[in-house]
Amino acid sequence: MRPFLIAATVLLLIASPAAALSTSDCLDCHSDKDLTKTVDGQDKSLYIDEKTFAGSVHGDLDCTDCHEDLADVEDEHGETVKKVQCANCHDDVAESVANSIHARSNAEVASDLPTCSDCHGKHDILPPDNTRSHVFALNIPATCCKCHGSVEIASRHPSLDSKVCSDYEAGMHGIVLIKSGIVSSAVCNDCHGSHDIKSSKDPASRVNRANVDDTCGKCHASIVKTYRQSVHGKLYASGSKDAPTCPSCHGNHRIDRAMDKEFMVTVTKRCSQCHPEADATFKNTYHGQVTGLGDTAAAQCPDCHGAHNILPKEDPASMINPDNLVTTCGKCHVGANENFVRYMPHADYHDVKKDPGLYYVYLAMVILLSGVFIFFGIHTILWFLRAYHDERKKRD
Amino acid sequence: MNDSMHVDQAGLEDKWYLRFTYYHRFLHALIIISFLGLVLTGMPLKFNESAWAKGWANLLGGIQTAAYIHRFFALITFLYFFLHLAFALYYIVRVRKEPFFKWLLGPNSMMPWIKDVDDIIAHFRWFLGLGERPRFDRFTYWEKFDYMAVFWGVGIIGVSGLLLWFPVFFAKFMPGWVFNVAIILHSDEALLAAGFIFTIHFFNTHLRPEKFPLDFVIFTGRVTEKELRHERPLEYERLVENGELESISTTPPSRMTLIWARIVGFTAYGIGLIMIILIVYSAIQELH
Repeated sequence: MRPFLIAATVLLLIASPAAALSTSDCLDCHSDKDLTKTVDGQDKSLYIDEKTFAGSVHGDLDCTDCHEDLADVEDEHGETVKKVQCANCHDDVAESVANSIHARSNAEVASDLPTCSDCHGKHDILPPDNTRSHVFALNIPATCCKCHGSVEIASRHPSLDSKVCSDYEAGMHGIVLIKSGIVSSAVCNDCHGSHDIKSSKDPASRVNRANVDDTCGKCHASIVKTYRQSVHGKLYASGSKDAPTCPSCHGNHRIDRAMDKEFMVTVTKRCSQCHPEADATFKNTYHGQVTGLGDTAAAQCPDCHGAHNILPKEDPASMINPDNLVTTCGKCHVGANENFVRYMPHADYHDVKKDPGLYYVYLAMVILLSGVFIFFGIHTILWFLRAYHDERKKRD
Repeated sequence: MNDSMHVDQAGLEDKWYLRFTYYHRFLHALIIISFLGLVLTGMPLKFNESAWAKGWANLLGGIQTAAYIHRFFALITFLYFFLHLAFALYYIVRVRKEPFFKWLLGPNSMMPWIKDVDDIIAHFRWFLGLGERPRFDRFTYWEKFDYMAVFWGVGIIGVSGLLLWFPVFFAKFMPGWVFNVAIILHSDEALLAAGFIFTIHFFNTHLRPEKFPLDFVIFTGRVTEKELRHERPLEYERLVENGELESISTTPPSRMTLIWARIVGFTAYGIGLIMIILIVYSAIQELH
C-alpha cells in the first residue's frame, strides 16, 4: 500500500493550493476503499464513506473540526493522527463519563474501557432515536455486549460477569425488546444510565439499593406505588437493610415473567431466605410438598400473601386478613367457606406451644410408628436368627 | 429342603388343601395393585425435597398426574375394603355355623384373643430357645395384626385421604383444622403402612428362611398336607377331628399359577425394596 500512499500524496501536493485542508481534500484520499494503514501487523481501513458521514450528526462539520491537529496541515499529514477529543465540544458528557465506572482511572486494564466511539461510532454517529444508531434502544444491548458479553474481557475484570448479556436476553426485558420488538422495553441504559454509569455498590448508582425502586418505577410506576405501601416497602423506607427491593424477588438481568412456573418456583425460595420459619411450616403442607417438587399447582407465597401488596394480617386490605380469607382461599378452592379457612397453612406440629392439638396428634403417630417398628423389628430379627439356625441344622 | 421347593417339586406328590378361595385371592390381588400404586404415587410428595422424588414425579407425568393416578388406586382401595365388608357380613349372616361370639373368639375369626397373647410370648420364647414352637391355628397373631393393620390403615388413610381430596365439601360440616390433622395422619400412617408391608410383612410371610423366597399360598390358595400339619397343627387336628379335612381337599396348583405368583411376587419385592431404600435414604438426608 505504501507506494500508492506516496503516489496519492504526491497527487494531492500537485492538485491543492497552499491552504487548510477542506473536507473534499480529505476525501480525495479517504474515499478510496483500498486505503489502509498497518496497525499492529493488521491492515486497518482508512476509507470514509462520504454519504454516511454527510448523514451523520456531524455531517455539517469539517474533518478538521474534530481532527484538530490537521487544521494547520497544508497539504499532507503524517502517519500518526491525534485521537479526536470529543470533550472539546461535549464537555458536560465528558465530565459524566469521567465520574463513571467507565472512567479510565478505574480500571486495571485501561485499554478495555470504552471511549466515546466504542459506543457511538466514529464517522457514522447518528442521534439515539435513529433506528440505525449504535445507541438506538434496539441496538443498545448489542453495543454494550461487545464488551459485557465478552468472556475474554470479563476474565480481566473480576467485577464483570459475561453472563449478564445472555441473562438479559433470556429475561423479560430482553424478550420484549428482541422477540417482540418493543423498543420501550428496558435496555441497559434505562436502568444503568448512559454516560454516568456507576457501580451498583455506589449509592449514586441508579441500580443501588437506595435508588433501584425509583429506577424500576420509571416504567413500573403503579407497582412501585403499591410496593411502597406494603410491609416490604415500608421496611425499605425505614432504611432497613433487610427490606427486599425489586431485584430481591425479580432478579436483575434475567427477570422472569411473574406468571411463569420458573419464577413462581424460585420466588418461594427467595421468600424463604428471609422467612425460613414460614418456609419450614409451608413444607409440611400439601401446598409446600407440591411446590417442593417444582410444581406450581398448589398455593405458593404470593398466592395467599400477594406480591407487591403484601400487608400485615391486621390490615383490613391484607389478603390474609381474616375477613378476606374466604376470598383468598376461594381463588383456588372454589366454594371455600368460613369453616374451610380455619385450616392452618403454617401450622407447626413440632411446636407444642404453638399448635398443641396437632403436636399431640403428631406425637401419637410417632409413638405408633416407633412402637410398631421397634416391636416387629425385634420380632423379625429374633425370628430370622432362630429360623436360620433351625434351617441350617435341618440341612446338616 | 425348604418348603417352597417342596410346593414346587415334591409338592405334586402331596395332598393339597384349599386355604384361600378365589374371592380371598382376588381381594389380595386388589390390595397388592392398589397399595403399590398408592405408595409409588404418594411417596414423592412426602419426600419432595429429594432429587429422586422430583425425577420420579416427572416420570409419572408431573405430580398432578401422579395425584390422579393416586386417586384411581384409592378407589380400588375403597372397592376392596367394601367388598371385604360385604364378604364379612355375608359370612357372618349366611356361612357362620357357630353362635356369633363363639365364632368371633374362635379360630376362624380374625379377632385377636387370649391365645394370640400366649402365642406371642411362646413365639418369643422359641426365638430364644426357651421353649417349643407354639402350635398355631388357622390364623396366627402376625396374620391377624396384618389384617387389623389394613383395616385400621385403610380407615385412617382412607378417611383422611377423602378429606384432603374434597376439602371444600367436607368444610361444609367441619372446621378447616381437620385438614391439618388429616395431613399428619395420612402421611405418617402411609409411611407406617409402606414401611411395615415392605419389611415386616414381606419377612413374616415370604422371606423368612422357612418360606424363602416366596410363600405361594395367597396366589394359589393351596397348601400341602405337610405344610398344614407343620404350620397350623391345631387347625389340621381340628379339621381331622371334625371330619372336615376332606371338604377342603383340592388339586395341586397349576404351573401357570406358580409362574404368575413369581412374576407378581418378585415385582412387588422389587418395588418394595426400592421404596424402602429411598425412604431410608431420604429420612437420613432430612436428619442432616
